[in-house]
Amino acid sequence: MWDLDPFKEIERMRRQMDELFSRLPFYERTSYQFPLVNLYDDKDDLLLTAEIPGLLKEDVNIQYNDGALTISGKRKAGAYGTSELLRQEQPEGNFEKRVRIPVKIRDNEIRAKFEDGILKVTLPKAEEAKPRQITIES
Amino acid sequence: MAELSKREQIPVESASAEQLISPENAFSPDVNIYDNREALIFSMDMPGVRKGDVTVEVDENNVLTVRAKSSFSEPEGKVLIHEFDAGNYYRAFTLSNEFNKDTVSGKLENGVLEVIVPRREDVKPKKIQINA
Repeated sequence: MWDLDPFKEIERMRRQMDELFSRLPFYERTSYQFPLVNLYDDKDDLLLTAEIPGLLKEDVNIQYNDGALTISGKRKAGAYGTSELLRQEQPEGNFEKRVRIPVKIRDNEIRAKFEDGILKVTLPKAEEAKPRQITIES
Repeated sequence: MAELSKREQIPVESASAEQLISPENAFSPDVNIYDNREALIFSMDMPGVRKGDVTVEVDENNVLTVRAKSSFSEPEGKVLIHEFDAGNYYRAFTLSNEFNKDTVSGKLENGVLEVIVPRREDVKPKKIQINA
């Protein structure tokens, strides 16, 4: 007996959609908020780059915990005496960006460099997260 | 007052020298413009640009043009997150003739370019001494 319940049908479709979306890797959901970041997977390390113009390295705070890297700080607007701001496009104020790191890393060996407004963070992978060459036995 | 033109953001195809950087092959940097009566101050975000890789010029039509070459290149490896592209920067502004184009100065620090365009002496506000 064929039983077509429209509500059941909608529910089935909704589940299918949910399933489809849950299969997307989490890293495709990023926020495009200041600072913009890129993340690369290069065999033994992950490399994160971020565009943070206008800050000194002392004013950028980087933390790793719970499988995520958090970059935070405060960008102050320029001060030119008593000036009028005619146009504002540069982001300003407090920022915090959390980036999930998809593999296990050696969190005590994270290194960071900040040059010309670009932050580079190297996150060495834990042994078990590194790619392994498998030899085929004859 | 400066007349501003914002260009579309277009990623770089190829540009080997600053002279080749044009609106078609470069990013338009975010700008803040301040007016402190003495001068206009342009502050532009140019992450990845090193000192010496920027040209600032004002031509005979009072167009202030900024071109900058980025030193950032895509690292090796598989891309997991990609929110920004590496590229050069180009932006142009038309100045009114109340500014002195011969005394324009620029400074690049932490990926931010600051260009100072002073007003001509004869249009600057003058302090008038009040005699008792």
